[in-house]
Amino acid sequence: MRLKLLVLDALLVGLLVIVKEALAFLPNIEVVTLILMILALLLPLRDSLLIAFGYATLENLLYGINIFALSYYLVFILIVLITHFLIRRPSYLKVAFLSFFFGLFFDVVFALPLLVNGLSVTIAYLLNGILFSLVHAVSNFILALFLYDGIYQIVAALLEYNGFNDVK
Amino acid sequence: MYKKIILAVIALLFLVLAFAFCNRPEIQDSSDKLIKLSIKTAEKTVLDASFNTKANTLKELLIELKDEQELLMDYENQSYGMYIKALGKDELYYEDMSRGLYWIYSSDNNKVCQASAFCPVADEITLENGDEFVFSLISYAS
Repeated sequence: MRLKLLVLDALLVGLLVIVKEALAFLPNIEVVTLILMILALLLPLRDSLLIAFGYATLENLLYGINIFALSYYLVFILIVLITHFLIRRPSYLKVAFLSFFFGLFFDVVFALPLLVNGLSVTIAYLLNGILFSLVHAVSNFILALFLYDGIYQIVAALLEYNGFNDVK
Repeated sequence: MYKKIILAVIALLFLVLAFAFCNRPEIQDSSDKLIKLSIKTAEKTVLDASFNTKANTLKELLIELKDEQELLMDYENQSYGMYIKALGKDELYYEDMSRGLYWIYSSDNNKVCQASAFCPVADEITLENGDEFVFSLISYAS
């Protein structure tokens, strides 16, 4: 059963990369956050963390390892952890508001390595991209409003179909 | 479903307001300013004088001085902004790419130049009273 779940984790990592790349032409509009949140709600913590880690690794391999590589790991692992521990009884509203804040503070986590250049450089970076952060937050919110129920049901049905009814 | 649509519209309105707020026009300072300009070639200082102006940007000032025949200038409006090809007082000193000769400008006290650590395109340099600019025809040929 554990091996089967690991295979499913690997498939879900691939799925995340595909949906990310499919929407890559839209600036700061993505459904990876929403899917990761749903996986964090439906899968055991170690599996959702493994998926977040695998996804960040693949993205780093695709786009190259740079100073933001660690931030990439951190941001997606934080999404999983915060969703897992904060949302006990999931609803589309809770997920939408949480994904709004994930979008808003995504760049804050990304800016952490810039602190080595000083606080003023980091703040300048954040202010420069604040509109894009807002686009990220609002698009996350709207996507969660309309897609949460559907994706949640599909992933839940997928787990049930593969015999993972009480996997969490 | 209506609740979702209303929430989505509110979120979009919030985004539109944020864009409108961030892209609002800056209040321009149209008061009199005293701006000092120096124009130098490798051999000599062609111009070293101060000018009273109401211009808001360095581009506006240069065009104003050209129109008033305080200096000579040949420039182009490129997609990124003003590109200065030649400057002078009594004669024009042109860039010469084949000799690596280019016009550059700097300022030790203009806020925009200081904030960027270099002077951006003249369209983006807002002027304040007392600003000083040095235009130099520099050879980058090795």
